[in-house]
Amino acid sequence: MKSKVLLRFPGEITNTPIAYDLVKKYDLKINILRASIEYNMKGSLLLDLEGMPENIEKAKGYLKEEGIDADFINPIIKVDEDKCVDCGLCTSVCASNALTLSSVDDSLNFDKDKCVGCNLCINVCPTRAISV
Amino acid sequence: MGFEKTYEEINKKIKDGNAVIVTAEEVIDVVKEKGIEEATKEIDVVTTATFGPMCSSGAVMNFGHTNPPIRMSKIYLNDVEAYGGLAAVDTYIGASAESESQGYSYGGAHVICDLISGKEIELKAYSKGTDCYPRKEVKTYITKNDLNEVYLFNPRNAYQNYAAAINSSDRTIKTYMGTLLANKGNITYSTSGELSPLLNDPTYRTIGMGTKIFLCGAEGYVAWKGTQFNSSNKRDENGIPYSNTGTLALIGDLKEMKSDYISPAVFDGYGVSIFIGVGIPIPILDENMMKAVSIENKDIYTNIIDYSVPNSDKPSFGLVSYKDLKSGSVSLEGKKIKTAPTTSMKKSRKIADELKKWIESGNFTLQEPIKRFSMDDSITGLEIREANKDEK
Repeated sequence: MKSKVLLRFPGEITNTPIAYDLVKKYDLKINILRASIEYNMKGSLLLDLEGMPENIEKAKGYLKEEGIDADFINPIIKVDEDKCVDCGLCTSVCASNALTLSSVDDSLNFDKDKCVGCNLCINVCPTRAISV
Repeated sequence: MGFEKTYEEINKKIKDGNAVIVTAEEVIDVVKEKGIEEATKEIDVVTTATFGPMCSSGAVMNFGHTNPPIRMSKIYLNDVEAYGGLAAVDTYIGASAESESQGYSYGGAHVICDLISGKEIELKAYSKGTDCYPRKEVKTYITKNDLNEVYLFNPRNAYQNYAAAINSSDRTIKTYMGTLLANKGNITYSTSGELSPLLNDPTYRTIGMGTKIFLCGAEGYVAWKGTQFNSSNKRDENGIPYSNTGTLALIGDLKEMKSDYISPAVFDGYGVSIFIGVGIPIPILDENMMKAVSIENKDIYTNIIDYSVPNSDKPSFGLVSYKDLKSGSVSLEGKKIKTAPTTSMKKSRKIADELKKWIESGNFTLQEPIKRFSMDDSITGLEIREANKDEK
């Protein structure tokens, strides 16, 4: 899964190799989108994090321990009901079960609280009904 | 052989407004409650339906002649190439053809669906010019109403069973069965199972050449057996095949079709396909027919095929029932794997209900097949070989 995260950290931890740890310890692919860092100053870092969902979870714990305020920005998907044909193919890649087929009438349900913003469903949808 | 009914008797009841019609899902409970014998007497027609991606689909159309006329040999509709090897202003556009400029984000399926929804389509055509057809180029705009004839003619629809797809490799693969995650991360499957037309008439007793059907909201017909018709496949004691078997070539007037029952499909990394809505009524001629239509998902099996093997002969991870596939996950080698369909059950049900209403209204009667399909057909692969010199 992929997730966007805004890190805000206090000055004293600019010595900690955050990016290195995220890659090395949690096998995450990071892409720095914006950085405002100066030695021993309060700073922020906007990252794209990509990796296994469980590793992202562990990384969240690590960031908290280090005293970093991590704000995960999950772009929540939208399903266009006019385009959706309720085939259910999007559910095949939804690891968090945010997209499911109703056991009553097989219509597509989207639970935005469960969505982790991985966005895998967007390109999988054959009718292009899903967007952010 | 118990109670029997003829097409004539059933059609008379339909016209008189007395026919009893249920869907292939509803019939299961009726049979459980009343038994085969009673259900056969009571029910006249069972409607079946499916709504899934069916690549082998397309539309025949005739543009009418310009003045002076052109013999179109290169034809583009919204930049999607249509076939230029027919007579002057006839063409066939395949659903999976891709746009010259936009690639597979727009294709033949989109052109077909845009025509159905009444949109204007750009037509560009080129020719070498002949004495009788002097014009060499034309660029204009058309809607379905400008066309003399426009009808879907789909060489292969409504597969009788279809293999489920899995990926055992260590990388994600993108297929017409969707995105298959690495290391057996998911399973996708198609067909509407117990509601699917050919799974309810496994030996093609009532679905044959000439059968009148629901095609994308219009009245259509089974025109021929579908391509890759492989009826000699292995079957269970109910005649249900374990893999891709019967297919149907379907035909119907595009001008009467409704956008609700047809949609373009784009498969990431693969290309364009089209969701086709098909509904087929099955007359309950006798108890055997009733037994056939009362089939349940738990009794229909398909193979789980490894799509990561790039050969046409892909290995199977074994059989699985549609009941299990539809539960959302199956266990394979001790691992729980997520399952997801490519066929919309919600749309399939809507079609089965709509067809039921058509028949109830008295305007849609049943057509006995003009010719039945063979149970012995088999298919071959394409051999790559040198020319046979003796034949030259």
